[in-house]
Amino acid sequence: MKTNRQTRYPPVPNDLLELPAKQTDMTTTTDQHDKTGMAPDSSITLVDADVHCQIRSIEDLMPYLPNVWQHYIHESGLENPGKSWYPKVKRSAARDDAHPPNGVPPGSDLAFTQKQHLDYWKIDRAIMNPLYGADFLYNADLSAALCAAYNDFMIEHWYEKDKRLYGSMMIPWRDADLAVREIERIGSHPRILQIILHMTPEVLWGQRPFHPIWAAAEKHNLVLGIHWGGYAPPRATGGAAPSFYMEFHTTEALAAMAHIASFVCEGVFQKFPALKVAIIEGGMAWLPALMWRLDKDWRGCRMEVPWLTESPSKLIRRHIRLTTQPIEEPENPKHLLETINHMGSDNMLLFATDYPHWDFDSPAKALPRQIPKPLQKRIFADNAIDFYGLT
Amino acid sequence: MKKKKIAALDLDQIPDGTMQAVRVGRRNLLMVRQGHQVYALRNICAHQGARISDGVLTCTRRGGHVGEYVEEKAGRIIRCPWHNWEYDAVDGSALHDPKHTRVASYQTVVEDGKVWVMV
Ligand code: FES
Repeated sequence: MKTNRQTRYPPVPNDLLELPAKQTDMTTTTDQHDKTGMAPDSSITLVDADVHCQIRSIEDLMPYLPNVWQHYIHESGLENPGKSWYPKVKRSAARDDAHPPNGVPPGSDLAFTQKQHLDYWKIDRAIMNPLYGADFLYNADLSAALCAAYNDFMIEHWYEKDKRLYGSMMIPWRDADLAVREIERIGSHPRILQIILHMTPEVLWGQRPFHPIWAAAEKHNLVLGIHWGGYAPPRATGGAAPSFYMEFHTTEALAAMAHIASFVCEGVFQKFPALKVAIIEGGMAWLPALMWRLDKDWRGCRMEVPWLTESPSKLIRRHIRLTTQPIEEPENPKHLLETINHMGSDNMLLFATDYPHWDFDSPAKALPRQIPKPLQKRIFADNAIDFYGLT
Repeated sequence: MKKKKIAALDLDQIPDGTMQAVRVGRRNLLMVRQGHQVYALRNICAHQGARISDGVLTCTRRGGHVGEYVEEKAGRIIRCPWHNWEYDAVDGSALHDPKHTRVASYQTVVEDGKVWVMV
């Protein structure tokens, strides 16, 4: 039997560029997002919690940078900070069909993204996650300038241009004061609802130097979105860097686990009871095992972290969500449903495609039909609506 | 069923602030002394069955602000020798889940220099 979602779309055409646009004019610059939480919009049936956007080149940022940094960047020949440590299995780690015909990088052409992705899949809301290495730069002032420029570019050219889009902001996290300053500057923008962070930053995000930043995030009701990858040596996966992209791609789940344990044990959710964390693109089938292990260790090690007055699994269920992509594909799809049941809540998962990247999950096919309709509805839309306060 | 009152040990066999394993009838019990009060618990951990008398009698740390370590319940917390679960000698409750997890506790009285247990 086919699910609703599987019957909702036409077959993928050979040339998506020939498809007529299915949406009416979605362009808007008005405030659509009430982060204080209005009643959920029941017309939202598909939220994509991980779509990527990027600049075409660093020249896009020049109008948003002070003169001194424009000169600095041109003098130094800085292009895009943050190179990957691994050659990807595809160019730009993108789907082969996601390179816009005008030659700009995948995910840097709003019209193309609208047509190929948002319109085609009838995505009602998308959380946009720019991936850029500016926040990893060791020069905190340069990092702050580039993060601010990137944020301003994305707001103007993406987030304010389509009412389906909500955005993530970058912060110069190596300097808490500068990071807080950037959050104070744009954290209340109605289209910004998340701070984008990475899973392999040489640090664990629960640790105390970051707490002033998390206080500002909580104040502005910004989710911390911890996304796969990063631009530091990928050591959070057990102390050593894997040899291959495939290894790294898979074992990023270990880094995700380490960050969750860090948030829990450092008492971040006791200090910031309204703070929320989204684990993006780390997979999800490992979550029950992590909760079981943390709960078990908490029973014997509570005296080391006495501020943990409730079990880690309860804190995780209250504060953390995981995006589904790249979804695990067990031989027997029923096992995926069993795994979700082990999470102890239907609220934990947010559907995501990761467009335009090669490990994209299709809204029509990614969730196996063994997942009951009410749970699919939660995963495809309701959980994200509740978690992000989408309208 | 009516409980029996059985002498477990002489009070001076268990110095103040210590704990001691005793056998009462067919039961293995742990006696914990705090001043004139003596508590009796089943001497088998609710987790994987260790003899909790092989652990330590200590205090716990109160849940407080992050980074704050405050000791409390000194002399009445038993930590299991195996995986460190903590039990309150007063009622046998496990500190991580006092409503649902405990070792059995028994009423005691001190009379004529002896500690009596109602079992
Ligand atoms: S047997 Fe006592 S804590 Fe495991």
